[in-house]
Order: sequence, then structure tokens, then C-alpha cells
Amino acid sequence: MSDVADDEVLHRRIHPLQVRPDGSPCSAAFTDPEMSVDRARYRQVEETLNGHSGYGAAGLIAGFVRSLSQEVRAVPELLNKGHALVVGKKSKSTRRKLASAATWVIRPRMVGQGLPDAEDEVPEKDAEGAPD
Amino acid sequence: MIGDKKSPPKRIRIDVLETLVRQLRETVDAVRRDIGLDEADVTTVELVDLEAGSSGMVWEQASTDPDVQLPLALTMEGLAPKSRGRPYRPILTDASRRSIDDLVAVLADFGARGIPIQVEDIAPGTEGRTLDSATIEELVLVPFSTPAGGEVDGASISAGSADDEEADDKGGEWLLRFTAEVQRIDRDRKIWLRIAGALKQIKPKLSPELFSAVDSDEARWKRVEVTAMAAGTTIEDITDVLHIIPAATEIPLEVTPMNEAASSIQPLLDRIEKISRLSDGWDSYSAKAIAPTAISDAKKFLILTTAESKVRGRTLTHPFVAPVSTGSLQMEWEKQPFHLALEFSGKEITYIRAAGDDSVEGTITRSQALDFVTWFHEATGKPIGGRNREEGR
Repeated sequence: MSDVADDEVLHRRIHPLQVRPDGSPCSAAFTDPEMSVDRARYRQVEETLNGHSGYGAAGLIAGFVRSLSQEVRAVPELLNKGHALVVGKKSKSTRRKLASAATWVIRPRMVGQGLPDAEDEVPEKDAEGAPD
Repeated sequence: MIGDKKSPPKRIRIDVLETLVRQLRETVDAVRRDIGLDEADVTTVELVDLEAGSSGMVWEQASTDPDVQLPLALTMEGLAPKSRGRPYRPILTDASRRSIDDLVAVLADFGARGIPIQVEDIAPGTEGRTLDSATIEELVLVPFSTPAGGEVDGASISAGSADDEEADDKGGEWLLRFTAEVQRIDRDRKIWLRIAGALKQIKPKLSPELFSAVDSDEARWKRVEVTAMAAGTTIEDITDVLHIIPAATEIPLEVTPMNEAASSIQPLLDRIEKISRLSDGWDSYSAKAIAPTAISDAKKFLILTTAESKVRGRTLTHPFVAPVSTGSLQMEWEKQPFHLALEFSGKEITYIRAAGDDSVEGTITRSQALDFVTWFHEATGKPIGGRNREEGR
């Protein structure tokens, strides 16, 4: 699998509880020092969300992610050739920038208005959930 | 004696210098905390030659964190701070602003008293003047050993006991707020306050961070506003001191039931409760379940913030609460260009504050977190009811 190009789109699943009231993803969704993403070039977003009903998928541009002192590393897996990692310490400032730059490819399933009802929004991972 | 080749030597009285340095140190320390710097990273305040015949003190501070864009400078020429009249940087909290105001006031006071910093300009007959002795006394910490109990000024004194630590953890059903004068601080972090003429010791130990705040020139011997949790409705029932800040106005004892404060944030508490039920892997990756201590810390903080807001007559802007994959819980307040996020891990509170392009992050105490919530509300035009910076002086 090739290195991740700067213009590639990276997909990250987002839990509904990490969606802010204005509908944007929360910085809390971008904290992992080794953050798993899927390369859109090699994996359709529907596949990324397969087995994770209720979750959304946010897209990030690899070049922008690198501009935040993050390494974008292709880490293909047996059942997910598009798997990649965004590696690097994510300060709160970096998390905010990632969240601000993320755009929805598929929005999480939200229930009701105003404060989300967490109970309704805690999605179940499907029994046949797709691998990361 | 100060000065160099360009600037002729000048003399400064030691008492003036001491007062100036003390206030300057407080101001630098307050700003340092606001911008999340360790003490070791603080730039030295320097005496510099600004132009022939004029010296000044300059503090130029930039963060060591590349993510923090906060050049900061404080320059004083002679006795007039150059920053006077300029708007404060919005990232600064009320505590820093008050401290800067105090620094300006100290300098202005010196000017009004005719206390010169340049001996050449000294007015005839003012060489022998000294600062008011009472003012100097206020700045001296008097060692004090706790009596085993008894009466002081007619008030009953609690000597404290081994139960105190337990009391700290019990919390309380009431929120008390009152003003008092800090009289003495014991080495075991217990505080003596003069309240309505009586000297009383607050039973629980102060937290280390509150102790540091109280053991400062800003609070010692001065009137402070105390917020505390209590098992009952009297000062003797206090189980946990939450917040001590310089008093803005005189407040008789105010008592608020904790459940009354909590009722207004029930939807948030319910949401946190549901977040607490997330299990490992909840984010579909490798997230940890949210730590029970993070949940309880966050709930407690929300209740305290709400209760404190209530007694101050303001409405708390409800934060957005979200789980963090590390097992923490995050609260966010946002109203452009201001942003505040607090993350409760159960072991510590970390934060980020932003005002436009200025942003600061780091680890804070609960008391500082309360200050930051206040900062957010003031910055976004929701000042604390009945208190603002002008009144706070």
C-alpha cells in the first residue's frame, strides 16, 4: 500500500455523544495519540461505518493533519487495506484544530432536539461489526 | 542604586522597592498562571534603560508552547505603567486583571505620596517620608501556632481533629458564601477568619491550591469571599472550602440548598450519568470507559459552579458535555471568539482557554477551573451578578 498522499481524505468514525449542539464534531473525538482512520481512496465510507450503526464519519485532509505535526502512516490490515494511523501527541489546541477542520461525510444519527438523549444515542456495535 | 552610562545613577528607597517588587511578583505570578507557564519558564523582569535619563522595568513573556500564541509585555516607565488605558488581553482572568490594577494603584499611590524613584526629581522635604506603617504590616506574615481550643474574641474555636480529613470528603448539602478577613493560616493548612468581629477557624484543611492562594499577599490579612460546602447552615458545619477570592462587596452569610442549585442542571447530570454507562471501546475504536472518579468530579464541579452562579445571581451557561476516548469527560463552553474546555480525568483537570488567536492550555485546580468559568461568562458578556472588576478593587 502506498504512502498516504497529502490530498487524501481520511475518515474517522464519530460517536453521537461527541457531536456538539451546533452539529460539529467535538474535539474530544480526536485525542488518541495513535488515531485510527480509513483512507477514503481505499475504503468507502459505508464500509467504514459498516457494523457501527448510529456513528457518523468525519473527513480530514491528510496534508492538513500533517501541518499539525502529526504523522499520517498507512497501516493496512488484513480486512481493511485502507487503515491508517494519525500518530502524534494531540494537545488540546491540536484537537480543536482537527475538530474544526473535520467535515461530515455521514452525520451520526441524532435523536431529538437540544441536549442529545445519550441513552438513545449510544449506538450498538453490530455483532458482525467491520474491523477497524 | 540603579542606572548605567546613558542613564545617570538613581536611588530607590528600599521600602518602595519592596512594595513594588512584591506587587510586581504577584502580578507576574497571576499572569503566569493564566497563560499556563511553569515558574521556571517565567522571564525575568528587567530594569532597562529606555532613553537617556529614563529607566523602566520590562517584562516580556512569551509561552514556551508553540501552540500558545501569547506574547505579553508589561512595561513601566518611572512610575507610570505604559499599559495604562490599554485594553486587557481577553485571555486574562479577573484575578490577573485585578493584580494589574493593583500594580497600577501601587504606582499611582507612590506618585500621589510624592515618593520618587529618581532621586534627582525628589521634591524638597520628601526624602524622609515613609510608607504608612499599617500598610507595611499587612505585608508581613506572622507565624502562629494553633491553640488547642478556647475562646478568641468571644468565638468558639474548633481545634480540628482527625475527623477533619473525613469531613473533607463528605461534601455537604448546603452551599455557604460569606466574606471574612483572613487572620491566620496554620501550617496544617487550616485557616482562621474574622467573621463579624469573631475569630473562627474553618474546620477542614484547605486544599493545597487554596492554601497557596490564601497564603499570598493578595489575600493575607485582607477581606476575602469564601464559598464552601457544608453539612448544615452555619460556618461550623463547613465540610469543604471551595473557593476563596478577594472580596468585592460585603456579603453576610448566604445559604443555598445544594439540590436547589442542582435542579437547574438536571439534564446535564442525566447526560453525564448516561455517559458513565459507556463501556470500553464505546467510540468503536479503543476508548476506555469513563472513570467513575471523572464522572463524580465533573458532576460535583457542575453543581458547585451552578450553585455559585445562583448565589451570585447569574445564570450558568450550560456546557456541552462529551466523553473522551481516554476515559475522561469534557465540558465545553463556546461563544465566539471565546472558548473554554475542561477535561476531568478523575486525577486532574486539564483545560484549554481561547480568545480569538490566543489560546492557553494546561492543568489546573478546581478553584482555578471555577475562575475560568467566571472568565468565560465575563468575557462573553455575562458578568457575575453584582460583581465586576471595578467593584472588585
